[in-house]
Amino acid sequence: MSCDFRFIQLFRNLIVVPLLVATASAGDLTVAVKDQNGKPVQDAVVYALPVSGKAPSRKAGGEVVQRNKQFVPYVSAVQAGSLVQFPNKDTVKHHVYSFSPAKKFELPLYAGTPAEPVLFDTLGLVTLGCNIHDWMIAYILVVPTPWFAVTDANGEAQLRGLPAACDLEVWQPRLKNSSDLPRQRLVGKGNPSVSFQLDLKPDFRLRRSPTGTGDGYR
Amino acid sequence: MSRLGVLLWSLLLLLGASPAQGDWIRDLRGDVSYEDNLSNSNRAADERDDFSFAGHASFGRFGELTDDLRLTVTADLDARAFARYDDFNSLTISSTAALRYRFGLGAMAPFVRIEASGGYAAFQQSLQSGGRFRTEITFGKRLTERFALDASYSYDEIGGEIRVFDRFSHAFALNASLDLTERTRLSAGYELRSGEVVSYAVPPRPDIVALANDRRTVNTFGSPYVAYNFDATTNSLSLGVSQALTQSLSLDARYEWHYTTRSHLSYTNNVLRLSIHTAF
Repeated sequence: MSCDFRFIQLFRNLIVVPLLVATASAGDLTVAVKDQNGKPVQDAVVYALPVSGKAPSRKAGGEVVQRNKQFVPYVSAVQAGSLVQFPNKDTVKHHVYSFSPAKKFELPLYAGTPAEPVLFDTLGLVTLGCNIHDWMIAYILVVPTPWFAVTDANGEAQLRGLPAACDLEVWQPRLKNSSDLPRQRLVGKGNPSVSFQLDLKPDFRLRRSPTGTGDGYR
Repeated sequence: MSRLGVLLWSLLLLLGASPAQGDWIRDLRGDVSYEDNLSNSNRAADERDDFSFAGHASFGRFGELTDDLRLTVTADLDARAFARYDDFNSLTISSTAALRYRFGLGAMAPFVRIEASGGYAAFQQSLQSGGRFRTEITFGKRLTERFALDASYSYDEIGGEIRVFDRFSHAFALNASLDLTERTRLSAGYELRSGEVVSYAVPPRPDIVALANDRRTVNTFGSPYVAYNFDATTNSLSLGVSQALTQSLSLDARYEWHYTTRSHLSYTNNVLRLSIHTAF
């Protein structure tokens, strides 16, 4: 995951959000996500929806970098209304696009950082691709809350300053049934850790390695 | 200026004009092949089989001329050595230029690719040495995340020092690939080729003489054979599997079956190839 993006998320989760919601905070929470075989699941978005239905707006900027012809991070989340930058750190041009209903956009061939960030103002999943390098793929989940995090290699995510009563939901790109997300309700200052078990499909991404058959890559 | 000269100058110009922020192409491939009928003979007694070892290098650039149009330019070097029949040992230098237009955004968008390549092949048996020219147009479409199809037409000219080894051909091909996993790709293809072939036989073969455009006695297989050039139709099937070892390295295995006919004559070739391919 991009250090820049992590820093922004960390800054928001550690400092901004706790300060703003301190009066209604139910504390911090570690969420562990595992698959059906009990293995830690990385790149799962965990987010909290206040039971009151009122989530404060903490629109922080996001960033999805293109580096070594890959999107970094592979999975990220932003609160609806956030702006996301797509800096190109490669020496070749990229052409970023999304066909997703939550955000259809295109950044035609460019190098460096586009002048204008992209606004993500509709809830839902946005799948990113690069028209030059077909194997490049990334996901941005646009959520209605400032309380979200993405699991690390240990399958863990930390949520800070949660409201007193909230529902936790989890999404991951390989989730078998993404129309019915796993959910748990938290009330009061209970257990500081929660775990989810997800039923995941095998990972499949377009191949990057050379082939002897030719596939229109060039 | 010869066609080869024009192509080489075009390559230099294109390399010079290629997009500054294009991507480099640095491909290396090595393979070992077995062919059961290297002599393209239609009588079992005349058939000669052999193993060969080859190295291929491509160096060049590709880049986007517009959002939809990609230019690829490479310089290519091929070397092939046979275990027994040295006359087929060869070194080929060539250049390739290709334009690919994509009808829309993303991996699922159909594309058309036009390619031209030219070069020179030097054989140990110098009679086979000569220019190479090829043009090809390919239409392709990825139908699902895992399954892709393409269809192509190609025209080939192979030159030799003598008429027997001059050949031209037209070919139509259909190819399909299926990604079983992120690392394992299966492929299958069919090709219909129409054009000149070189078939070797122990004389006398008045039946082939009657069809031949030209013929020449050679010692390629250690005893007097006659190389006949005649027009024929070849149907080919291929099956392949490609296993990605890393992001830039893959191991490929391929089987090809070729069935060539002309009038009452026919011969079959079975080719097995194992190759390792890296792009960095």
